[in-house]
Amino acid sequence: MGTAMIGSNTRYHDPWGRFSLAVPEGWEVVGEPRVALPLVAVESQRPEAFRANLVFTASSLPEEMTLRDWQMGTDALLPTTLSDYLLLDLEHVEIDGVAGIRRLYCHVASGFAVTGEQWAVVHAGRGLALTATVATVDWDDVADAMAECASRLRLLDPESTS
Amino acid sequence: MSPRHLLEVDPVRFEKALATGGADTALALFPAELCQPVGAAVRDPLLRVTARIAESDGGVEHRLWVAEECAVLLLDAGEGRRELVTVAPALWTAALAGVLDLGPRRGHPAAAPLAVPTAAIEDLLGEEPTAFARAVKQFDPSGWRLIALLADGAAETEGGATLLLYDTGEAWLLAGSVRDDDTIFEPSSASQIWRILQRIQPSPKEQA
Repeated sequence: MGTAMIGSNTRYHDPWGRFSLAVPEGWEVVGEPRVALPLVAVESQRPEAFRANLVFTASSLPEEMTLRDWQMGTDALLPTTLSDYLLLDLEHVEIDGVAGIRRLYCHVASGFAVTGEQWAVVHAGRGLALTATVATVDWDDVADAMAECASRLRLLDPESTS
Repeated sequence: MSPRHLLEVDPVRFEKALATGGADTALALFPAELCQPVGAAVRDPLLRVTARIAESDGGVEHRLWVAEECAVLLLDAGEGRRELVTVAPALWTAALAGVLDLGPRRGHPAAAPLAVPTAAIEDLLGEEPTAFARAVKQFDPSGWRLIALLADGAAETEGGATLLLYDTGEAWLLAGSVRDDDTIFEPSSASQIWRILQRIQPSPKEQA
């Protein structure tokens, strides 16, 4: 599994040209990028602590599927896949000028109480989602950094960059 | 939030036992097998939180103790019942968020500030049940809730913290400034409240 440390002011560029993203300094990009899972980044190793992470997913959607339809499915799916899931907030937002949604939730992962924040948008026929997962006890300290990360997400046109 | 135990305990007896005999006496009202971790948490908590909720059709008071071994919630389930819930210490804010029904509100972007008589809030924060009842009666806009969270033992607030929330059903508001006889509640969000809840923590070093 490949690992790359992110340096200062480093942007991650999707190999398929769909987005670019500023990953927090010092975080590691792990694994090989895949079409549906182009980015997994984790914070530096901390003994006996949950490592905050950012995961970017790109889902193929049926042509007629809207953001609303896609996200209604996500709302139904999350409580069945995440332990002790509780939806905390859900709002409409703009992601790089495109209408999207942001949700905040908490759940239990690997025995840790964690908080998840997710930004989702439909772009160029794909459902793109950026998900930050952080130990809840650390949430107040890192929430601004995660929001900053999402605000600097750039959606690209794959055809113009290929 | 598992395990969850529904207990048929007379709240008047519980409060009387707690006031006169302390936590041990009050906990003797619960089944013995539950009392060891619960009793330890209630006797020697790192953090105590009381949530008082006034709403149009009444009011409830929930209590929460956070200790190294577990967090204990004693919930007012209505009709004279108390519901006892134990969770891992790190899950106490998630459990409290569930109790408070912290979640999305559709009217958030359009919410306006709201003035609430400070005297009513003081009644809500008062120790006497009759004052709490008076506070409840002053609020009759159906669906609205005034919530007071009183935390004792919070690490970053030198021992105590009070958080006042207003849930209009359409938006969350958070107590801010005081103007004349009113406390002004400013538009907030569940996201902001979730962050604030994380600041009311026992010190990380002490928390399991």
